[in-house]
Amino acid sequence: MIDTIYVEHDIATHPRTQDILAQFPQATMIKCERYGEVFNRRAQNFRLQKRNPGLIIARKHKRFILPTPPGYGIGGQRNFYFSHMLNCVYDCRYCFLQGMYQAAHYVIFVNYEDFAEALHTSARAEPKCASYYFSGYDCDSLALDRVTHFVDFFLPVFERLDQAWLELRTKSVQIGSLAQRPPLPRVVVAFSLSPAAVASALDHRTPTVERRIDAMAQLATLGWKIGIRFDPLIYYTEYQQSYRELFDDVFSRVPLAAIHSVSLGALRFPKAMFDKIVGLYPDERLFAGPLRSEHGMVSYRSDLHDEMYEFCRQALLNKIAAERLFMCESFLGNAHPAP
Amino acid sequence: MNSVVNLVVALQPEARPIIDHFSLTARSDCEPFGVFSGDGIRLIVSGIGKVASAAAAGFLFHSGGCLRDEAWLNVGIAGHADLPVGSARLAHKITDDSSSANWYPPRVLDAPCPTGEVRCVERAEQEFAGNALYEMESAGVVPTCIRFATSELVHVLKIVSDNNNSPADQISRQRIRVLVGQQVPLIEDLIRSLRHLSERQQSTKLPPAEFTEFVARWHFSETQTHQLREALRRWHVLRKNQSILAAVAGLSTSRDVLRALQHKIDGLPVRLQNE
Repeated sequence: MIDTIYVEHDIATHPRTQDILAQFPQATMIKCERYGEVFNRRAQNFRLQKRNPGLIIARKHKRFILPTPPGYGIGGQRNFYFSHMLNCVYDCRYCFLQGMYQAAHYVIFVNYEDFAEALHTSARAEPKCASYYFSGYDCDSLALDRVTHFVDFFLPVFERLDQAWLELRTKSVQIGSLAQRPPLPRVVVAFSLSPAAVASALDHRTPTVERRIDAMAQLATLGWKIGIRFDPLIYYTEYQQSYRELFDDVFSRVPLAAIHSVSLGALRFPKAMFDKIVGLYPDERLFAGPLRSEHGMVSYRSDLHDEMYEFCRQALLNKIAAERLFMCESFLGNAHPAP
Repeated sequence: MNSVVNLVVALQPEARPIIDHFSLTARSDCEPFGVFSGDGIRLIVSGIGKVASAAAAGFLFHSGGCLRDEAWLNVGIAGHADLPVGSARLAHKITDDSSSANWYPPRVLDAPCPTGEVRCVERAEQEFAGNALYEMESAGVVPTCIRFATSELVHVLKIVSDNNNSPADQISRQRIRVLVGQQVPLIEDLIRSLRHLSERQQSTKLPPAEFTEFVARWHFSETQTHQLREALRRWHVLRKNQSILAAVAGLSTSRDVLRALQHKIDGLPVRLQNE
């Protein structure tokens, strides 16, 4: 699957680098000075690179932990995100990463210890206040876990931080490392879901929705807290029936007690990013749909957006308590509890 | 669409087997350089060195009509410490020896060819350190051509002509012809793969169907032209190959046309897949 691995000189002898390289003995290893030489340089094309992305092993030097935009979260006041990886093995057509980066290579920052130190510093800055840390913003948290061992390193870090919550956001069913350890009370494993018809049309290279729900149910049985992210909501003529069936399916198989939070997310892009993505995929039906540009953001026509949100909100409130439902209205989330 | 693949080659003996294989014909209108074309290929003989090769690439781009996202391939001989003479490598890293600048051509081609590191030097080397192929043009071709095309479409193929056991002074023009000639099937594969990528990339930039007919029939301002392009893109994505021109042909102004297009598109059912 990965036949090219770029390695920063600086990090070439790092044990995690060596471990990753050992997992891909057939791959061509190419040394570089800094990952920016390979990743996201001008004159690169995300769609063409997605044919065969390479893996870049790098060191992150700064900005390990970043605040989320105001309002983003699942109930906490202090919200941050961090990215041990850039880019995703999946190829979801609505993903903002394809408009964010020029390159489709996967970057893994292997200096996890520096992330851990930053997490300690951040969490302890307000020791009496719960802090929420979101991974899976610039990547899928679990999809490459077998390669990165992200879970094995970071869960013990969060276990030691009294007030720190971690959200793992994923479409993956790579849950082996979670299943092998006792559940942690402040870790939420959040799965992104869409109706099967949407996933079939737009979620390329991902596990089916069925398998994702199986993984959720399995983790729930093991005692893990589950997040469910209907994000982004995709409008089409039969959406009501599809989403209703999806909600029925999920809530019949995942015990309510295990569900930490449910969120609804809007399909929204900054205009410049949208134009860039359409330039990559001009023949994509999603981008020919009933979208409008307003105030620099592209989203569904407001009547459709409101109708879809209200339908899903009501349908979900028949399943779960309002305090567990969050509405993510803005591009980067901007979540707030459902009224 | 039949996209052109551009080849930049330093020497006549390197170019000759390619010219012969593809039956390229010399163009008489390109005096500073030897330029050959035919069969969806343009080939320029640049002369030695990165300055000459950069100039040649720029000249070829300009003389070809400045079309973006055509594919580019630099083909030439190189020295290597121990790779067998005649073996070929597609560059996965290019280093300019004088500036230490690096380029990393993305490995997106379906080509049956190993890859290697290429070091572009100012003067011919006699001894080869490390595992790099030594040559003199790539650091001119690549940074120039990625101004014209996305880097996935710019590649460098080097054929080993000399190594530590077979020094450069044993290379004759005839020997170069033979070495390159042996790799013509590979070059042909690369051209095919590059052309496929280039056409795919260029197709994303084409105006939507019926755009030409619309702008010929009505006058659109610049803003309206943008709106028209977007409306036609959406229509033809949602209604594959179904003409919309006839439905608005009776309208007299571009404003009416755009409004009618918008109305038609808004009235379409929103489906996830083509019907």
